[in-house]
Amino acid sequence: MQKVSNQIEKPLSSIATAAVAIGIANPSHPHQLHTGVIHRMADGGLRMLHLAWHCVLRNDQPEPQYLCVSLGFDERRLRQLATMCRRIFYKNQQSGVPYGFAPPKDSFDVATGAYLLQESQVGLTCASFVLAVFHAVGLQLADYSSWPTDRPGDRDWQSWVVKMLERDPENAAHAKCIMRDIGSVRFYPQEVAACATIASYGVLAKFNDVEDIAENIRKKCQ
Amino acid sequence: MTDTLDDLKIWCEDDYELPEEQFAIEDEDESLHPAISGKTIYRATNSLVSRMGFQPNSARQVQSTSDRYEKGLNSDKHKIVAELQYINLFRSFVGHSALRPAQHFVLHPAQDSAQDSAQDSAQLVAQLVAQLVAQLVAQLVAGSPAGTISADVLHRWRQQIMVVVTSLQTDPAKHRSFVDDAEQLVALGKLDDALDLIYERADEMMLAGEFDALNHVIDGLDPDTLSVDVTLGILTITLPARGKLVARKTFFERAESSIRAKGEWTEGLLTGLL
Repeated sequence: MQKVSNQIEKPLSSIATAAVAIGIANPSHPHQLHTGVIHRMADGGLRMLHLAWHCVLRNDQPEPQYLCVSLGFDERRLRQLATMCRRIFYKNQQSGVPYGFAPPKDSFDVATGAYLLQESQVGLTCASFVLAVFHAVGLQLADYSSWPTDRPGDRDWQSWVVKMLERDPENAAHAKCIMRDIGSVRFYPQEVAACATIASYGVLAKFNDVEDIAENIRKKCQ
Repeated sequence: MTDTLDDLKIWCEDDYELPEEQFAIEDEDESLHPAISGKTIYRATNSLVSRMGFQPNSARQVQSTSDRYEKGLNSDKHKIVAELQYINLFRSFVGHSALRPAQHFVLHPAQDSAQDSAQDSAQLVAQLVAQLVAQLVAQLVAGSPAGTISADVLHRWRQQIMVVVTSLQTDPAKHRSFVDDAEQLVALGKLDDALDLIYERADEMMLAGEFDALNHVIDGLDPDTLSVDVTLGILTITLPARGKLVARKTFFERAESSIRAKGEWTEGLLTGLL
């Protein structure tokens, strides 16, 4: 947990290149955590790349409520991660990245940074988006196969997402498309942050390894 | 020409505002695309610059086209068409008379005329790229329609202009690749720009299906002369195409040895990049 700090304990300025952010995006939904990748831009400023919602990809200044997770990778690899973040935002800022429940591997064309929309790959959540960004630069954070599927509440949450998408007629087709993925594995934002605390080269975090850490992170966010 | 290039370099580096009158577009330049916009400028400049080592490259392309004709390899028509399109790229920007040697070669693709044509066209291309850059800057400064050029596009465009200008000023005969350009940016302390450049150029080549060319670039790289960041950038960006880039595995192995020899190795540095 010493790798997880709020911005008073450890100011953002101490982030050399990249970190994982975790926090409550909307105070009216305190149980819904949000995550993204904080990365340093070419102009020296920090931005948080995150998938805010369906086709809403943001690259904002990190807000003060987010906790930061330091990463155990060499700064030179994190610089590649930051470059990929810029690339992903540049290539997807217009069309966005779709929201869905697809696995976080092979989500981005590493060359172009464009989201690879395909039949088995119809969208990501904020949490799987972060995993996908790391995956794209060869820094896989988690052993995805160790994650349990269909945990209590997962289907309800995924159904709620579909329902929200259906509210906008423009998203109806996409909502129908991801409806078939209800029941698939769900990565929670705090679990992704927990993975970031223990991941290192060639060491993939397993679900059992991060369960307790994730719960502590969730509490720290409240 | 040198003064123009110096001014361009200053403009790119220091946000120096070019005086409009210095870069007024002459009447003879009306062949410039009439519907030019920020996006078009960016793409056009990008296309030009991304042709790695455009001077020797143009010579080599004309020469190789000639070789194909001479050897009767006419089945390779799509290659020839592509190379003629390459020549047309320049023609579309600089007017129909500017690349006469290349046009002559297009009409008479014989071996004996290829060498002269290639040299002439290479020299012309070098001059015309510099002119083009000046013209495009003039267009920009003169005031493109509001909103057509975003700050991001402008920033990237400046980076590319600077690379072109610097390469023209230093050693125009040297074969250059985007990796050379990236190393130049690293030397200027612009590491992020260098990595952006590598990702962007590799993106273009992969999108265009130019895996042979990219493989050739990688094959020609010496990790001993590259910074570790550029080496990592190449390995990262080419990760998904590793099956198509046979030179990549050797480059990976040489990169590891080189980084170790330089004393810059940390455990796991290349993990996940093979």
